[in-house]
Amino acid sequence: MEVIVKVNDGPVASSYKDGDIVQAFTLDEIYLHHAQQKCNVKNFGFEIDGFRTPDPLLLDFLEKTRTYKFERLNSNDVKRTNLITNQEDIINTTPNESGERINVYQYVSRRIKNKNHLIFRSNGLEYWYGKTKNDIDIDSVWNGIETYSGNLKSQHTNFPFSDIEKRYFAAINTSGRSYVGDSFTRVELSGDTVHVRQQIALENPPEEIPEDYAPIVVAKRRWFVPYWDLTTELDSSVDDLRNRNHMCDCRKAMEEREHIDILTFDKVTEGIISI
Amino acid sequence: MATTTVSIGSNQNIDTETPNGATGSNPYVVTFGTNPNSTVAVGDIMTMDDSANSGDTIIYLLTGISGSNYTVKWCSGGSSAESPTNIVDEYGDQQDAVFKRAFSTIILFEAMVDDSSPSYWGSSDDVVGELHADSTFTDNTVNFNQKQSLSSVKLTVNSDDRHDGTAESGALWKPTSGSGHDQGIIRVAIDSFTVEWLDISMASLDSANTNKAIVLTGTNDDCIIRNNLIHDKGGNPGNNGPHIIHVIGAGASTDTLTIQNNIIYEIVETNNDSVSAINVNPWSGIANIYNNTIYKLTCAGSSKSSTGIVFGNISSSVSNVKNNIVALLTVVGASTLARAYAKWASGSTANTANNLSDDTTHATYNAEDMNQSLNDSSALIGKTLAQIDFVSTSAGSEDLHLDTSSVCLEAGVDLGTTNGVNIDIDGVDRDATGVTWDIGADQKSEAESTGNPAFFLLMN
Repeated sequence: MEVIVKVNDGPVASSYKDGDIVQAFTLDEIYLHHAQQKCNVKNFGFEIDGFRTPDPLLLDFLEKTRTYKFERLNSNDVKRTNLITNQEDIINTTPNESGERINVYQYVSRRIKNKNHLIFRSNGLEYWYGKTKNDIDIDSVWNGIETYSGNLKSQHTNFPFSDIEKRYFAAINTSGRSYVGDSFTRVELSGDTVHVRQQIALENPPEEIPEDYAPIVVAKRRWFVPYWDLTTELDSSVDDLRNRNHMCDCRKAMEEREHIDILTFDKVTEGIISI
Repeated sequence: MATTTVSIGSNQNIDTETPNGATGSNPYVVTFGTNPNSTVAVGDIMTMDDSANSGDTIIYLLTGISGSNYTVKWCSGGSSAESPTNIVDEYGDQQDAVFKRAFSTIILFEAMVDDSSPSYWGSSDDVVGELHADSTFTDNTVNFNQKQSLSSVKLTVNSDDRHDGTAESGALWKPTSGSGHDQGIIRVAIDSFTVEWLDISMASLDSANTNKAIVLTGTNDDCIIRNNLIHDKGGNPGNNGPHIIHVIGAGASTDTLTIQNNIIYEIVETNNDSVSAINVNPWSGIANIYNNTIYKLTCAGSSKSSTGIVFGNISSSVSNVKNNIVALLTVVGASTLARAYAKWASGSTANTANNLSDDTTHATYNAEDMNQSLNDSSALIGKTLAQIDFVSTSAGSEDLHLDTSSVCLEAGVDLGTTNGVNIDIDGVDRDATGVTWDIGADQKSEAESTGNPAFFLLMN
């Protein structure tokens, strides 16, 4: 888990506060950002007929990250394969029982005007992929990237924060613990444990919520890292962290990371704000 | 006012080149032995390792590209502005320049807008945050509640990475966690804010509490929401159903809000809540709602409604509602709950023209009457999906451009060029075509061939 933390109070009461966790990322999200960069359409060229080159790296990525594959069969019909269920159907200009239809000629004609298009062609017939999956198997995606390129998953464990961000904020990572008896190993954190750390502090809503209800923002962030008390744990001085001419990156290898409960605190639990 | 553009994306190693000349005095006009690649854009930063001298990394902001000349502004690092050609290693050799995005996420851009003293833009600038499709943006909620003394803030997409009117064809914003119920993915409480060219997929949020994409809280004079794709909200987000673009504050009677050329589709509530696509009901100022396409709204619950555009509950409000399409409303209860257009109060002012409703809306709420018996004779009502004729309504390949037989073709009214209303969902300039405007977010037919040059021709 990585967090990026506000350094110094913002200018007004409703701004971010010193130590606020501005954003948090799971390791899988970090891996996915890097995978998407490696497989970005701009990294791949075109065939002589103008369709996208069917590079195995790109095709493997699309097969693993998209919900549907569409294959044109003739001037009217398109075979749609759900890549999660392997269910197939045919769509065309006649609405199916769900009312779905497609004019494939118009569809493809428009897509290929876009220089970032992802329309491929095989044996004179176009195919493409649609709708990014919600649950992507990131290990499988990276297996493909490692197979078809020289990139290693193990070298892409940090979120690509910018140099500006590393001057105005503090990049920090942390871990959970898996205990066996009294000994523990550090483990990655995922899902809600991570995402709750980037929550806005909202006032508790009324029991009956009106349709035009406007939640009241108590603070721009609910969780914080009191980095000023954690200079040993972060291996960085307060002066360095607060110096906007100095880039601070407090992220460490897994075996050196502090536990999440040592670094992150809930302002409500700590009595700093009430909701 | 000066305009400062900063890039937003995850590519922190776009290109590395060696400067071979520089003129000027902050800003500097720099040339390179080899021109940086085409992915480098205005708004990126250029960093140089000055560890041999100041001990810092020097950061410049790329403010202009003209041929082989790259204009950069020193921002931070070292004690003062230094020409890039003066950044050398311990042997006196020229250091390389590394091009990177200025910000990695939208939230961190917003956090900088919230800051009082960034060195990357002037205090009263027009600031533009420009998204690049390096990877998918996953920010859960971005709360623009401060702009300090900035003149305006715009969240847009670099022209090379804009969608083409269909999902996932450009920079994609697909949150992976909930925003907080009623909070919105983008929450705006500032004036002079523009959000445009975004492709927001809510498809990962079926089990999350996110029920709104863009929320305007009332301090929104001269806010513009245009050319966005917002789609695929399902599930049960909580006690309140999806309201995709939702104004929840009144504003002032002199304030103006513009929502135009957006496509909103596939908004499906699954547990006892109403759905709306554009809801400006509490707005007390001028609301311009032009050329939007709204498709497939499904509520759940016998007393719940599916509403395309709802407006005009405040007597001082003036709602200009023109050239919109609302189609495929599904309700469980009474047919009166299928509402393409709903002008909520009789006392407010509505100027309507050339809107379309399909055969799924109740007649009271169709494009002609809008709940107030407006009797707008320019409206197209009762049209079927076949008559509207979208290119594709197939799941996974939705394309709500107009096909060749659409009744919407050349059935609109010319709305001029104010706030770029003439620019359609994929960049076609309706006015430049010389043909009558189409209804909805897409300008089809003759305009198609002049606005967005063909990348190549399809051989069929």
